[in-house]
Amino acid sequence: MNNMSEFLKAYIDGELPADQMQKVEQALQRDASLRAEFDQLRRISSTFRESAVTPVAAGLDKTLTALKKKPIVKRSPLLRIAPAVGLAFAGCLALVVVNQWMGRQPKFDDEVPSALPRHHKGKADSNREVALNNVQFGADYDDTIVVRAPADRSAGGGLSKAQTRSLQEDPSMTPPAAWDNSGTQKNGITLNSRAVSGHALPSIPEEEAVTAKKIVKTAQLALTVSNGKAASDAATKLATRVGGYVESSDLTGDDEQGMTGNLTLRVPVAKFQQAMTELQKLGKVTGVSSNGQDVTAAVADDAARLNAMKIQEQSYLKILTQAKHIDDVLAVKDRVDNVQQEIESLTAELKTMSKQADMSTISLTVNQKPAVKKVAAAGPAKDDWLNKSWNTAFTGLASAGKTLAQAFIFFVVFCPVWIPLVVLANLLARRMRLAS
Amino acid sequence: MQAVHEKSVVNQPLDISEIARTHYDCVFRFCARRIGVDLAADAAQETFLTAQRVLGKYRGDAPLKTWLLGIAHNECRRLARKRKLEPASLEFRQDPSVSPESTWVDQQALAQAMAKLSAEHREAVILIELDGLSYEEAGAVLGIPAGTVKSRIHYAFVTLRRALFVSGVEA
Repeated sequence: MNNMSEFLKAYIDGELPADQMQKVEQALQRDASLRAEFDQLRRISSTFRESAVTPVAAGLDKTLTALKKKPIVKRSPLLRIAPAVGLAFAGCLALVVVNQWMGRQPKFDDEVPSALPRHHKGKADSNREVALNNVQFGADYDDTIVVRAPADRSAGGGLSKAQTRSLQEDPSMTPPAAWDNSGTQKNGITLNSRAVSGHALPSIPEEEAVTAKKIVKTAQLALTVSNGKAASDAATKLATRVGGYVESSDLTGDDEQGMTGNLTLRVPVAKFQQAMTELQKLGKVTGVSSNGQDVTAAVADDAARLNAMKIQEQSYLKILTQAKHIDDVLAVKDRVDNVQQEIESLTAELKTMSKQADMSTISLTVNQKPAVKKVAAAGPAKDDWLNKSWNTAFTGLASAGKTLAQAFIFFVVFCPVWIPLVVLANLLARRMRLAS
Repeated sequence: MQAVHEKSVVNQPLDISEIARTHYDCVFRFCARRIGVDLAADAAQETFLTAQRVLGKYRGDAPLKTWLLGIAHNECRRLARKRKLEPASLEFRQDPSVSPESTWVDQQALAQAMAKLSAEHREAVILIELDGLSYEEAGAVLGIPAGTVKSRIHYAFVTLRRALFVSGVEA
């Protein structure tokens, strides 16, 4: 076989250029084996072309009918569900926007200041107040909380020293921001003695608790205010409104250098919580402490002694009427005088304690920062609109990003809702397409 | 076909029904030789439905018949892969009226030799010998150069010749 054999099939098929055709013809004339190979190839080719069965075509009508129907555009499944998924995301976005618009979003930044007065509010908290005889917070709300149960409730709901110590050492108890309206701290610790001890305390109405118990309440409150004079006036009006009075008032300084004021307010103990709550609204609370001294036992003791003294006085007076000798009369009279002095002393002491328990004391300190002089804009006016535009745009971008992130979270969380809807819509659309 | 080709060149809209009437037989035979007569109608219909969808992309660079056979080629491969089909066996008719030359090769031996060819060589032989395409048209259908078709057909015939003559199978 020479090198011309590779051109033989192409020669048979007429697929060679003219010059190569001529070369193959010349080679075929010269070479007998090449001619034999050519002959074999030609016979194979002839067998294919002449004796192979030609299939008879069928199905043209069916094809023409299929072609007359509206062609079904095949799309990938992702493209088919894309509009529905986009609609679902748009719905989530709308949900977020509406939610923000209605102001239902929790404002975590505001939680610390707003949470501060919550534990003083309402009658429901009065029980906790009795349990919390001494609560102190510093300016940054990181001071320790001392929880002490009343002496007469120690059997039912008081705290042991170990419990008190454990609460003092517990760092989770420090921020008042974690309190809620029900008196329960968010991490699960309730600041009344009920949850700590595991025993329930009977709920005592505020008025009853005040009359049943004699607690001398004092509180110190430090505020940073924008206007010291206005805050001082507001505090005075508040004291008067709740039935109290201003025991002392001292306001120094001016608007430029700053102002400091110290006020001592006496308010009825029943209005103590209200007064504290309203005072804290006058400015930014930088320090608050509340102290309750339980004088119930002392009052009861004095009352009992007073009773005994009165009985003793009656006895002495009876003896005095029966005395016949002057020495006896003088001796008994001396005893009567002593008893009466003690009675008067005890009565005065009881009145004082009762008065102290009736009117709580609030020491208010207001601080007004020195006014910051407005410095004239350093640059030309055109810089202002540039900076403002930049800040507005940046804030808008951040807000849009936050909104989109929230929408995405909604989108993911709500997937059990929208995925079945998308599948259903897809199936319906497909069925409608096929029906049409 | 030429008329249809000219229409596409002047950017006139092509009528798929007219194209189907013109080329259906050719496409059907092409499919029947690859996946059998039973599935050829389905493959041919799918070929024209696909052509209908992508007709706008036909620019007239190649003859319409070649373009359709290219689609049919892909459709047959897809169907064969999907239904795990073996290559259709080659059938010859026993007709005494045909030229005596056609009896020079044993048809059964030729069919067996064809079945032993590789897919590429077998495809080249069918396109050239049975479908009657030129090397260039076959290259267009397969998406390969005409020179490659030439090479494949050469080696396919060398194999067939050896199987039929060198090993002593000759009738």
